[in-house]
Amino acid sequence: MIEIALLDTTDYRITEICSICNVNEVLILEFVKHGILHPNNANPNEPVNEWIFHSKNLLRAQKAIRLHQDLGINLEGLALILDLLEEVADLRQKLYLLE
Amino acid sequence: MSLVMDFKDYYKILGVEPNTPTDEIKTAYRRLARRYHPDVSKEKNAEQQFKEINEAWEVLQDPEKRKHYDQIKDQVSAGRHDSEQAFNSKQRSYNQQTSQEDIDFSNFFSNIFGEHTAQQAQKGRDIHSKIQIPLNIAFQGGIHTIQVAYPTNQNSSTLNVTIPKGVFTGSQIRLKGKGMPGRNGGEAGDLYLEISVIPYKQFKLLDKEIHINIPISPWEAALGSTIEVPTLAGKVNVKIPLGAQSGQKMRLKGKGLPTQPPGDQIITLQIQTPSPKNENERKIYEEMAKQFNFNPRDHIHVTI
Repeated sequence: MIEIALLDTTDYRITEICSICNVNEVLILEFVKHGILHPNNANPNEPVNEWIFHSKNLLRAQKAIRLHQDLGINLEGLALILDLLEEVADLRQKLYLLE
Repeated sequence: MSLVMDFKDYYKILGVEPNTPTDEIKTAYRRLARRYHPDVSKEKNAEQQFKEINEAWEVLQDPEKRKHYDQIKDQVSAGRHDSEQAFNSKQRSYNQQTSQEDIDFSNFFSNIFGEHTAQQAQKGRDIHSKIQIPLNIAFQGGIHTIQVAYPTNQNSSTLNVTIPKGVFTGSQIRLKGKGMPGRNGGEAGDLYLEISVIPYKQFKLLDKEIHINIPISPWEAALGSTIEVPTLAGKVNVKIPLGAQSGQKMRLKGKGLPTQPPGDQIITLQIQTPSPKNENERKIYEEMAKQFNFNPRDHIHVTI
């Protein structure tokens, strides 16, 4: 019996993102600072362990870590690249509809 | 064990000549890594290519490893199969200080450079992969079969994955313990599947909305009517408003993906005009032309 989890159905706390992605909290904080991840709470001055992340951030964090480790892209570049990747995915879907 | 059969031409993989200096190889490596990185690549089989590119660079960037590899390459191209003996005597247990953690090396690499010499139990690496699911499976859930290449199996393993219902493009599923096997008794990593939903028959997915084009007749559009429309949740009756036009969209609430909250189905009306098949039908059209005072182009002005 394979244990399967659908990762989009919940929000995540910072510790969960860290353990799934196997990274230090410091890196996730840097990601937030650089606009790579966006906590739901309107006020990011809330204590860090109160932050809640929509599940979209989990996938973004995983991609960011891979691009950072594999291609040496810096934090500034990562936010831009992730946004562009999302835009491309969106455009591809829309294009699909028109075909 | 046949090293000739498994031989990997690392220079060819990186698209460089054998005598190229390291910094030029680095440039070639960087360009290829960007092109084949699975997260950004448009290429088919990007994951496999990316693995090979990394392994090639791993060897060629290290002067000692490169020298050892060059010797093997020479022997292999000289056709000396009995050089297997020469390999075994030259094989050393390299202290694997790889620039990247946890690369999956090919059998060829492991045969030349020896196994990773870590002693303590290590958790296996996670595998990240993308899969395509047709919209009907995304809608109702279902079993999807995938092939995963584990290093301990010669052939790849087949996994039957139960796709939960209501997944969309960008959804991610985690299969516990189905990643790379651990080393020295460590537990296996996890398998992450990123989903891309592809169309099913005429149904297409955009975010959580299901889209379909619905042809209607000119009189259904002009007079308004109720028609039967298919959805993945069964047939639905839809009231076409009077004077509907081609391209007009209508939203069927809750008939999209069964997410929380459920998505909608969007139908796009397409008026199809039947060609007249006989004199009678042509007369009807001619009568329409006479009775209607209709110029669809009167708002299009061409001035030069």
